Amino acid sequence: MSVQVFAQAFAAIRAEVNRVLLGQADVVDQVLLAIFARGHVLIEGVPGLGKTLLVRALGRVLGCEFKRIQFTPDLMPSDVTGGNVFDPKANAFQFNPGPVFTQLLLADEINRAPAKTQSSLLEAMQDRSVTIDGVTRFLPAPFFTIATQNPIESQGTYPLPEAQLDRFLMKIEVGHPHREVEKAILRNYVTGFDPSDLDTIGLRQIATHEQILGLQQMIRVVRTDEAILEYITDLVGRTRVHRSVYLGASPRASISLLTAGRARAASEGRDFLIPDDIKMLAPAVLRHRVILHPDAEIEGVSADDVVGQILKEAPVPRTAA
Amino acid sequence: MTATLILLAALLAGPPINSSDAERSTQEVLDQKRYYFCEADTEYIPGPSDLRWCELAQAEDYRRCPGYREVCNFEFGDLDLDDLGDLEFGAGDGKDGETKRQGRANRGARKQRDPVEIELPNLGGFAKVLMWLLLGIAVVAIAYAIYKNLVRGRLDDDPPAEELPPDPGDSLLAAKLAARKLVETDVQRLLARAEAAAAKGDHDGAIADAYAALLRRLEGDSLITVDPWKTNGEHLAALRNKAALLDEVRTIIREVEQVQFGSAAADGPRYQSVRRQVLAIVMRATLALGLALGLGSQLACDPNQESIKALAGLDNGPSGARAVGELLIRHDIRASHRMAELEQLAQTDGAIVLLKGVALSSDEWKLLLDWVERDGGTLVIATGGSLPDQLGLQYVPGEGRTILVAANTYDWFYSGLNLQAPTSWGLETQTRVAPNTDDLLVRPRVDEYDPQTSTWINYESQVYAVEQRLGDDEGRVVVFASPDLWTNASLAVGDNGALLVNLFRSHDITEVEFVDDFTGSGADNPLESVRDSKLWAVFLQILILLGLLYAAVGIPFARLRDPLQTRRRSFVEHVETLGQRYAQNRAARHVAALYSAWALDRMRERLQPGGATQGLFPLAQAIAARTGRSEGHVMQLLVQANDLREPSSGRGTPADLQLMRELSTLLAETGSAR
Repeated sequence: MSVQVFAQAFAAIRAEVNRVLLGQADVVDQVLLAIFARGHVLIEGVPGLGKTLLVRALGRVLGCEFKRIQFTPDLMPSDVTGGNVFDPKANAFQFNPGPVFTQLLLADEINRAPAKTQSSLLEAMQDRSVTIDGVTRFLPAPFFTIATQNPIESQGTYPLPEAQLDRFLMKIEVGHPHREVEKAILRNYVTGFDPSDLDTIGLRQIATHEQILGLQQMIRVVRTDEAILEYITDLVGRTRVHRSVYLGASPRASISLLTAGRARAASEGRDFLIPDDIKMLAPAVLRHRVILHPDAEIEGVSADDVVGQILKEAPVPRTAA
Repeated sequence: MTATLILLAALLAGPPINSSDAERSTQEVLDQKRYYFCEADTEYIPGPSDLRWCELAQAEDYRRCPGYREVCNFEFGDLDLDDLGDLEFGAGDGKDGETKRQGRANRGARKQRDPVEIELPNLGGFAKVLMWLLLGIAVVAIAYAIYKNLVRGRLDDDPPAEELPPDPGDSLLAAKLAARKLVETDVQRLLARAEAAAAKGDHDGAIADAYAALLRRLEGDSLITVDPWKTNGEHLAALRNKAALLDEVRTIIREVEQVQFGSAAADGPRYQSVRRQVLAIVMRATLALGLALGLGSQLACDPNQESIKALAGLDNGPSGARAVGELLIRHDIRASHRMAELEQLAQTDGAIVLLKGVALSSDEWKLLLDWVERDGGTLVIATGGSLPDQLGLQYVPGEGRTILVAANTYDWFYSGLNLQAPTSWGLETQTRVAPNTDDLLVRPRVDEYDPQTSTWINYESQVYAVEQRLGDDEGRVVVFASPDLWTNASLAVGDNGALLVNLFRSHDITEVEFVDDFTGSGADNPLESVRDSKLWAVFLQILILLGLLYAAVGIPFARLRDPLQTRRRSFVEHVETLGQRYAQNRAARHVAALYSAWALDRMRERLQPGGATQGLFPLAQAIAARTGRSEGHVMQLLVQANDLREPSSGRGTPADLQLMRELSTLLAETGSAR
């Protein structure tokens, strides 16, 4: 019964967000699945595709606080986490929380900041806490990070380290909308749509953050058959022995695949996992966790190619073939 | 007595066809395109016997068969009539046809044909030796291939000692082993297997098999493709253009997945539910196919056309008999061209018409007459050839009359019809031999004045057709003095068509078989066909070839094989190819020198930035410190690498390759982490 409630809530949230973000239904679905799977998302796409709008709309619909950090080369870790500032009046150090202390964090162009600043998010993303001067402070729940990066520009960027990448549940690639969708976006603007003012389109809050936490718990009831575990293990294992792969996906990838799959199953009102859940989400979950050999990169092989090939080789459990 | 019998038969039989009905149906038959000789402006090239009806048709101005005028006026010109094939002008001339034709109704006659002799060309001595040498080599090669395969087969039969049982954790190996298993793809067998599994209580397997049957059915309809890596969702995506089917399949998939991956129990009711839904789709597809085929066959040919197909063996020309058959069919008499041998008479019910040119042996005559006498059949003899003595009939020379009348003017089936037939022989009955013989058609007595000789010519009445009753079971034999009436062209004249129809209607006969030259020439089964066509040797050779191929290759035909996968060459393969080209050009030492110089430069860049001129020893010290190797060993490698930089004419040795590998290792160990 709880799964049905989850599916209804998911559908309502999705429908509301899709009112704002046209033509990106798959992206919205995956982001929502990541939220309910208690994961973070790295969105790769050129500017102007509505990434910020998506996060703002999510904050409104989910009833969560939203903050944005624009990553730049001179951004310091304390600019993200906050720090202790001396208060002359109190003659003591006062903690001044950074923008990470929020529920929905948009880390815009995360690869423009150096590795040290990027790493300031590691603890926040993994443990949902920030430790400064030996004091650990927990972030508000739910905490969810959406980071973006531009796939085109390479000058003045700092590629995310593998440890950081691994902490993102999914890497979602956003493309340009179709011609008709783009016309619909223009039509919305003609009729007065203002992305900076979500009230103009009457975007409603569908859930509270407490309800979001409850929904996150619901996916735990999704049953996982042994064959599905075998399938996940097989997929992830194949990334480690693929000839084009230098470093395969970690066990965290397996866990991510499982949790994301369960969220997908629940979103469809199913209380059990099926191979489709895994296969549909495998590209988003695995593509940023697969490090290619240099010779494969020279040949133009991409991580998506590798994952796609693996998905076409790995036998699906209990198939008729 | 005769009148009583005729009256009784008339009461029992259906009403006779009148001349107007017969003319209409005859016209419809002859108007068909297949009777090309009746089409206006026809270019039909007639044979001599095709022209026998010209005079009578002309008298009616060819009204029923306009094209016959062209046929009759055909200018033979330079055509040699002997080349036209059918030169039997005087059909019904009473000659013994058995000597003219090796009757095809007689299988024995066919078997007596001269065998075809094939002579091999006279090869020279060298050619013979070469031929036998090639044959010998071929035999040895085949024997070797068979032996090799048998040996390999035995090896394959051995238990795979080296093949370890699959590790449950190693799904790759498990998948490979699973891929070797044969997968059942037949829908019916899958359903049967599902039933068997359900009967054993294995409902899980039963549901899986039933679902597999559904997928295979959809695959058979080219709606989806079943692959080991495809999920149910992908199958549904393939059906997105079939909305109704998509919903049904989705329902089934949900139920199956609840069992396979969910918490639903695989029990009998659930299996029955899945099976019922699967069968609904599977049987619908089968039904649709059947309907399509059935509807197609219905659209392709109506029953009447199907009946007419049974006459396909009969000729469409003026001397043929196909139009006669069609006319009978139009009047609800099942007419067909008999292909089976006369020996199988027991299967025949109705009448048999012996057409022009059929020559039977005495045994076959006996068989036919016994059939008439014993089974009450009707035999119509219109061969124009010899008659069996039992009938007590003989041909007599005919005289110049074409008109025919019913011998019994009270017979309402034949009287009043305008009957005509070309001049031919007549019949004479020996009453002593054939007491139960009645005249059916006669040429009437005619007194004609010949203006040329200014004399009167008297033609006596002459019998043209007789009917003879045999046995107690109303068997009868009808004999015609000539086969003319049983031709397509005869339908173009008078009421001949009505006569032929009424001949059978008068005795309520609904089935007629035409026997001609080709009767009995067909094979009853494929083996007989092969035997008749003398293809045994060819088929035997093909079978032997297939057997040898099977023995040599050892793989049954039609097994599914994965297509060869084309893949892009990897970077390593490019490098390997490049290296091989250097080696082929004996430039291995050159490559080693280049690599050594490059490696030394890279290591200096890493470990001695700005100190490239400090010599090898400091570099060796730095490398040793970084890698933990002994300084002596590193120094030795560096010296060897440095020596290679000097110009050398050497061709390269394995030691050069070893040195390159050592340098590569040093580079990897001194380089930064990737």
